Amino acid sequence: MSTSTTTAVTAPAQHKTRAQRTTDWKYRWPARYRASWAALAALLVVVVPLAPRAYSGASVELVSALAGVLAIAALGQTLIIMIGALDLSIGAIVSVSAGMVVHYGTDGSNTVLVVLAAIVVPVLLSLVNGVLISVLRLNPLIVTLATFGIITGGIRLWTGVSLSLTGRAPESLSAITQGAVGAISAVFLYGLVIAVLVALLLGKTRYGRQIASVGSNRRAARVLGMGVTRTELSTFALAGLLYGLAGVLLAGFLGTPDVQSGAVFQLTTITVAGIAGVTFGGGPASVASVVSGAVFLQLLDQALAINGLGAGSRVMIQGFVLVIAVGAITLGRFSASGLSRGSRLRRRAPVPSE
Amino acid sequence: MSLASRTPEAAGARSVDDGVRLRGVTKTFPGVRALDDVDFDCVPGEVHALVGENGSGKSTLIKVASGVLAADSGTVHIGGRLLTEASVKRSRGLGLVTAYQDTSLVQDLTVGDNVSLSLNAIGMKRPADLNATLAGFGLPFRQTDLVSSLGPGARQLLEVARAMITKPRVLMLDEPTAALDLSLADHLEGLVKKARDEGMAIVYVSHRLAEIRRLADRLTVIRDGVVQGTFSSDSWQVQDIVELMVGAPTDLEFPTRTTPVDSAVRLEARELRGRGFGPVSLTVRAGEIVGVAGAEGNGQRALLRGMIGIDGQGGELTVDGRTLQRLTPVKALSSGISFQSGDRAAESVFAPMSVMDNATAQVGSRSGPAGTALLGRLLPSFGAAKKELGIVSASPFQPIGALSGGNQQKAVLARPALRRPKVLIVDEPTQGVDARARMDIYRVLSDAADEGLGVLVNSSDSAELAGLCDRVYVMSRGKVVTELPRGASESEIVKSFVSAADVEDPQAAGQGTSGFLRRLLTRNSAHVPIAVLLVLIAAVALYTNSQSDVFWTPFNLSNWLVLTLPLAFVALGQQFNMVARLFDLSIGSVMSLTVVVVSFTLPDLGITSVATTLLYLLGVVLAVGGFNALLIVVLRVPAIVATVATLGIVQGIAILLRPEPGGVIAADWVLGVSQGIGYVPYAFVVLVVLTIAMEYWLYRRGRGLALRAVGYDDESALRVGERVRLIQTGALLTCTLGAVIGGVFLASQTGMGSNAVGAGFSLPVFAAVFLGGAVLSGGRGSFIGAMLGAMFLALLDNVTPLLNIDDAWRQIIYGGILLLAIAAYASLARVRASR
Repeated sequence: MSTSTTTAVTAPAQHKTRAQRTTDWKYRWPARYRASWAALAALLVVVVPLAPRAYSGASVELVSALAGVLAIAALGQTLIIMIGALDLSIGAIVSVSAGMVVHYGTDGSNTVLVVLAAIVVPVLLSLVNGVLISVLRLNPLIVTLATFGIITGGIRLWTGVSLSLTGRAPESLSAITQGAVGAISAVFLYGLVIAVLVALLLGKTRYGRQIASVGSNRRAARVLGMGVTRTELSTFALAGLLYGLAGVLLAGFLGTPDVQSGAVFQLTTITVAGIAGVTFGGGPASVASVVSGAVFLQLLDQALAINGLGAGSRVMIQGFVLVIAVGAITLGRFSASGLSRGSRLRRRAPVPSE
Repeated sequence: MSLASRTPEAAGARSVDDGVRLRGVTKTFPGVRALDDVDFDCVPGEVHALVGENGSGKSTLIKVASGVLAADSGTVHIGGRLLTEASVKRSRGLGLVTAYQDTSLVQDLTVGDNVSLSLNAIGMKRPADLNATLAGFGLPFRQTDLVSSLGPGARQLLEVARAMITKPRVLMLDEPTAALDLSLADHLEGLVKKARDEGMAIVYVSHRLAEIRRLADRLTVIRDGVVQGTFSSDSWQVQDIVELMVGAPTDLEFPTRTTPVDSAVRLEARELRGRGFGPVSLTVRAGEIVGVAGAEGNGQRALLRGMIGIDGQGGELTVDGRTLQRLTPVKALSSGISFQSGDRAAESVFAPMSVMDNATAQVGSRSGPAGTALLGRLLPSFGAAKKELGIVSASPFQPIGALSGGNQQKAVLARPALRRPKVLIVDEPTQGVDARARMDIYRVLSDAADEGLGVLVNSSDSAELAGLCDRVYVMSRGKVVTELPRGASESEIVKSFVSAADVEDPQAAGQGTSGFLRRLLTRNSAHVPIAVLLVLIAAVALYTNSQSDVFWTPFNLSNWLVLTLPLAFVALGQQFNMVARLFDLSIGSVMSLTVVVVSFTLPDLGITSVATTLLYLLGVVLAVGGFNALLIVVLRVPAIVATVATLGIVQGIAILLRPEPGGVIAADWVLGVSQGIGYVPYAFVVLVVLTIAMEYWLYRRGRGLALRAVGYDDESALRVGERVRLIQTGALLTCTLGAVIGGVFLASQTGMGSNAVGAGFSLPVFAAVFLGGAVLSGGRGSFIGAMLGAMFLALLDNVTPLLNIDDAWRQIIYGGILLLAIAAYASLARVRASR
């Protein structure tokens, strides 16, 4: 068509003005992506007077390690949310991975092989979710609720209530997960590397753009000739890979994980996605915001715990954080789109009289 | 042509105060003024036709008068009384009923239920003998027929008849004959005449001037939201009206083009068929722009989609002489067909993504090597397209949803511009686009043809087709009826389908196809799960009895029924939600919270303790259910996310109140629950009675019908005047109530307060309701089914220790049953949907 090669060559990304660059930046980093960073910054300051002990070496190492695992798991959840689904089975799958590490990683076993298996099995489990959801078109909530039950029951049959009898991760795995650079846990650094890879995948590849497209508008993606099912299935596999990595690192760091260590991820990963401005229902998301959201949630939990708040208050506060995050995003969406979508057929205002 | 503001001759009793009157009504949508200071009225005993092109504002006018849309300014009087708020219920209460083109019937309900739904909404009773009433309208179907089993024509007749049954003052008919063949259209005309003679004021929207000539006492032409004139029945000529509809020759400049002569055929369809169109044969040559015209809804859109393999059913498509086998959208694109839909929101634009991402959605390998998408490649591509098409955006990274319709559409058309396909198929290229952007778009399409692409354009704007196209295919009822050569004027195109609408093509009677099995399945779908569950329960019970002599003892049976109670009450509540197409994940934690609360407030069964407990629990219902309703119904947060958050909060409160198990729950209550007649606890009797009452309510009472209607199709429920949001709020509150009652019975089993006892219930509750026939798409489900589902799951709980099965199997079984149930009902739904 008329966009011939000549015009394509004459319109390069020329020297942008400063104002243009600011505008671009504003759109690439909209408020919903910045919110988790702002929340994290505020929390970092608030914690200084309220819970100074949170900044002690041991505490920082604990928070950063757990935040690293949470970030990886939350990235998996984020991928699922990006294609318009939701994963309630995440906790069970992470537990499977952690459980495999401690169950089979006994003395004399091949640690590499065990770790590999602990990553492949979650990929397969997540793919099962994917086939049920994407191919058979069953509802994601019900499917993952059901697989959550099946997998949880399966773990109990397989390992009993605790995950392992000897109950320890292999030495070599612990060695690389329990290290630290300064006070920052190695797990967090692994998390960062993984996050950078995911960010590159989502931002710099056609496949990554397809994930966001399929989630934004599945019908449009289909009509435009993107392989929708292929994209969705591979996204489930990718999420499974991240769950597996999270489980392995969790097992390595905790040494003696139990079923409960994975279960918390159901609520926490959804909360992190909410804080990070991921749109429930599908669409693009920011990997960096997910990471900062994970750190925020973990640090908040630690600060509250240091101040003597019990598990109940902490879970409750997590719930409120999620409500505030999704509430703010929903309201923001109403005001941003203004009339175009908010006032469809549903809006009822009185007819002004003469 | 004389402008006639004719007052009806037999005035006297028939004044406009008994009909409908709109004064100075203005309604704008972003970027469009749909109605501009419109005056319109219709008096009793007349048919007042309203004509205009697609998008001229007719439908908006109807929606404003019906109370579906609120006008920006102006007034609506019905029967002399002011419509004070945009409410369908209010408008119907004043005596105005609308029959819509796409109908406001709930497809999955029977004819009788649909009539009842409409009558209930304004507090009327359904006629005693509905079949006779329907026969009175000459309708060839019975009240027990499902609406989805009727053909489109029969549905339309039903929509009109249903509106007439209420004997309204004012009847608005929106394109009532669009889906009708000649004989059915004749029949409808008869009905309309009869209603007019009985004194109804009838507003009649139609494309078909021939039938308006026969029917209408007055005729009003509307264009671009402005009334062009009102004429009495004998004072108008078809040609004049068409000119008024079309307007003065537009000053839009179309690109000057030369029609290619004998160029190669790029796209050819042979006997292509699909859902809603065909068989259609057509060709598009290189360098040609070919138009598709027709009145709205005559298969044009379906044809275009069929060409990329969506809902196709057969025929052949070739691109540059190569026949495409097993067509899919992916295949079509790789074979060189680029399709861009005009329904931007639904199937074209990725609203939250950047304008650059949208424009470069189809660039393929040009975005970077090895599957990468590099800014360094995308930005220049987008920059070029932006310049070429004149896309105005603040930044390449601006979300496309924030741009005007015209700019969105230009970004959409940048896709083929950057990809350079062989064939470009565009549906409604300029819908909702301003004049300036239109010209850019015409130029882009024209340039594309000049470069040798074959371009196929569907448009409801005939001026556009006349100005742009080398040839135009005119469609009616899914088939191509005429082919107009280059130079056909706008009015010639309009005339060709205005008159085409009155020719031949017999439509298979009123009834669509429907096999015996399908009807059996659909009509009794609510009862299938009940039968299945009874069989399952019997099978498990018999098997266990053969393996264990403990099972069939009064103690164990009583135990089973007591075990059923908590799950059953929650399942009943959740089933309420499922029917209304809602969802609540927080029930497990609500049950935990209830147990915790009871452990504080109910140390004995004294009157004060009981009263305090009830008060607190009522507070829980209102707080949690109300909070869910606020998030889901008011703020429109997805139900799943909202209730996951509620789950966390409520769970947290429960842990806060009872960090460790403790407290005492009245021993009398613990013992009392298992008291009963023989081994059947009283509470279980109450449960059964309640369940049956609820089932009766759901399937036999008007409010139950409304609940199902909201679940099936909230838009239709809204159109007949149901208060959809109120019903949804009620459902969420009821669900929480069910969880609280379930929690009270759970407390009798725990005997003390514990903060996590309810957590395990989410899974079995969903298993129970899906076993009970619920579907996530709403409307379906049975309370008896849900209760039997709960009994079945409790039975599994009861028998696993007797059969020496590891407790961990329970969750696996629950999960497996849940998956099986939704898979089974999903495939049942597919059988139901396929024709």
